[in-house]
Amino acid sequence: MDVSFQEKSAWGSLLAIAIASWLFFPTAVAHIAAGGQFIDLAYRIVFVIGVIIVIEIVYHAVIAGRSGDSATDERDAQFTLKADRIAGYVLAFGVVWIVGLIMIRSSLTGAPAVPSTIMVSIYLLLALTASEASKLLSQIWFYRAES
Amino acid sequence: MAKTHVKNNIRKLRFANGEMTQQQLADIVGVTRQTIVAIEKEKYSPSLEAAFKIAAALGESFDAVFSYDANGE
Repeated sequence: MDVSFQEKSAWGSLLAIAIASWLFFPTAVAHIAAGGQFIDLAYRIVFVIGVIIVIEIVYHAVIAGRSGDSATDERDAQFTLKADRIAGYVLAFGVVWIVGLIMIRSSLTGAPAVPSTIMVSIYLLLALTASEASKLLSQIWFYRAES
Repeated sequence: MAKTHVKNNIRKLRFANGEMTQQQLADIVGVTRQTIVAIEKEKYSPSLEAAFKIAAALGESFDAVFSYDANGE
């Protein structure tokens, strides 16, 4: 399989996001269920961001060292633009979905129209994660389809 | 993914130019080797600038390297 640096980079970032999601979201849900405070979750977020940064740095250092070429060209730029557009759609859909969910829940159950900050934060992080994952998956798809 | 409508003779011309490798052509044009591979397989249409650079690197006119097949895939 002939894989460019940028495609390898996308795979690594996808791996980082998968690990971060695995480290964060199950814990966050358990935290909410236990009635935990936002500040405890904030520490977790900082930890997970740290994990992502470490994985990205180490992984990219390894693949750059092996391939010796991290240059990008017009094809990479085109794929990134197309993937960014898809990610934008996913993020927009996620935000609209969250707002819709809050409104429907409020109107059906009589719950407060403004839900807990912690809940909205996790939903938004989920939408952001889905958006980033869709961007990376799109990039990988474009590379695979045109190689 | 379907092939593009832009056809080319890059592979043939590379060998006619002293068996120039894909990497050598990529270095001259300023793109990655994977991009040259995709262009050769007609799965990616290069920008006009890159196409002119490829033709120049192969010592040919633009028309000798690229053509447009409106009835292709």
